[in-house]
Amino acid sequence: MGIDEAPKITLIAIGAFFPVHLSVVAGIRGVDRKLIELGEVNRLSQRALFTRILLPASLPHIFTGLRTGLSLAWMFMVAAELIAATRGLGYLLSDGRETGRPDLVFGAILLLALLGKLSDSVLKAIETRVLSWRDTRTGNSR
Amino acid sequence: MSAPLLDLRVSDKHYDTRTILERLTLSIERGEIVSLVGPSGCGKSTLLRILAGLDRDFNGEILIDGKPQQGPSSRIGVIFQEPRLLPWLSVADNVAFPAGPRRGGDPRVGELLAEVGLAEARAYLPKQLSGGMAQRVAIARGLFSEPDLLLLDEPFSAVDAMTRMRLQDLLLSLVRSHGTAALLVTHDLDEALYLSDRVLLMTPSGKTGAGRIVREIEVSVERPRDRRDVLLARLRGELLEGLGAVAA
Repeated sequence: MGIDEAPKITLIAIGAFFPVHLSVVAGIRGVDRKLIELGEVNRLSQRALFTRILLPASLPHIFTGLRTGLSLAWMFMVAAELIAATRGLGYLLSDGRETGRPDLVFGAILLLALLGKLSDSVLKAIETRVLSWRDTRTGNSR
Repeated sequence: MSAPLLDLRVSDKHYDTRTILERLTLSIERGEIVSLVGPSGCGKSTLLRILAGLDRDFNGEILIDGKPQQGPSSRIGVIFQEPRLLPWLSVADNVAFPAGPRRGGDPRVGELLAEVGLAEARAYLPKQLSGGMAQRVAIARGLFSEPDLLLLDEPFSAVDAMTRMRLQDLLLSLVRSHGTAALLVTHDLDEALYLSDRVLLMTPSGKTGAGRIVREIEVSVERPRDRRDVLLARLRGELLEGLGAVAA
């Protein structure tokens, strides 16, 4: 893969993959048997059972996984750039450290925090919209 | 004479080594309302699950119009103890669930919702409904595919007494106007006698303790019935006796 962008993207992808994967599996495993029976009684095919019952029912879990995955992706991005990069936030961190410029270091940290918060808020807004049917306490859940 | 709508013969049904049902036969005619009562754990719900096609691990056969049926049938509708509405679908989409995804626009949905008195609620989400309303939506969904037989597993056990009486009358008028037969599992003897043409008493019996239908009571009281009817009260006594004999 060389030392170009590809290995960094691969690292980030691997890092973000597992929390998403685990939450999808846990979500589908955790679907109420009663809803699955409803699908059986209506003679849904395996495919229809998945798209019409299993997937929507596990969306709350999947969103939690996506948000965890997103935050991990940011961390892996910095880690990848710290090791081998010529630009990027991680590079700014290590460059600032080596050239004795704390403004670069703090700027990079601040920017990371902002980007992380911003991307999570976007995902959270989508989650609130898609999962408006949830019968849970409304208000600020984190 | 033509075959009855439903004919069930179970020679036996086991869970592990325990026998749940044994040598049990049941037949239901078109448009007939039959109740199944008995102490808890006697296999009533198992019997219903077998009929719904959810439980295929038994020895015996199900005939619908004389033809063997395996697994869930489009001619049988099921109404569960809880409404089991899908929380992410609107009321209308829930009612039309048997037709396919997002078919809430179907004209039959409006008709059915009007019949159960929820015409204004079609765009609501299940979380906005009360327990009684949700169960009415579930009844509308059960009738959507126009089944010949409706299976009901203690459908009104979770609502208050007044709502229950209203739902019983609603169910009665619906199955009669649609010509649907119904098999109702219930703990409530009054409910069974008020609604049914026949009440079957099921109890664990024999040395294996497997569920069997031990008594069958015809309820020949004219409709509309009065809940205080003397004959209903006498039949209730008979059922209690049957249950008492079981407990002894």
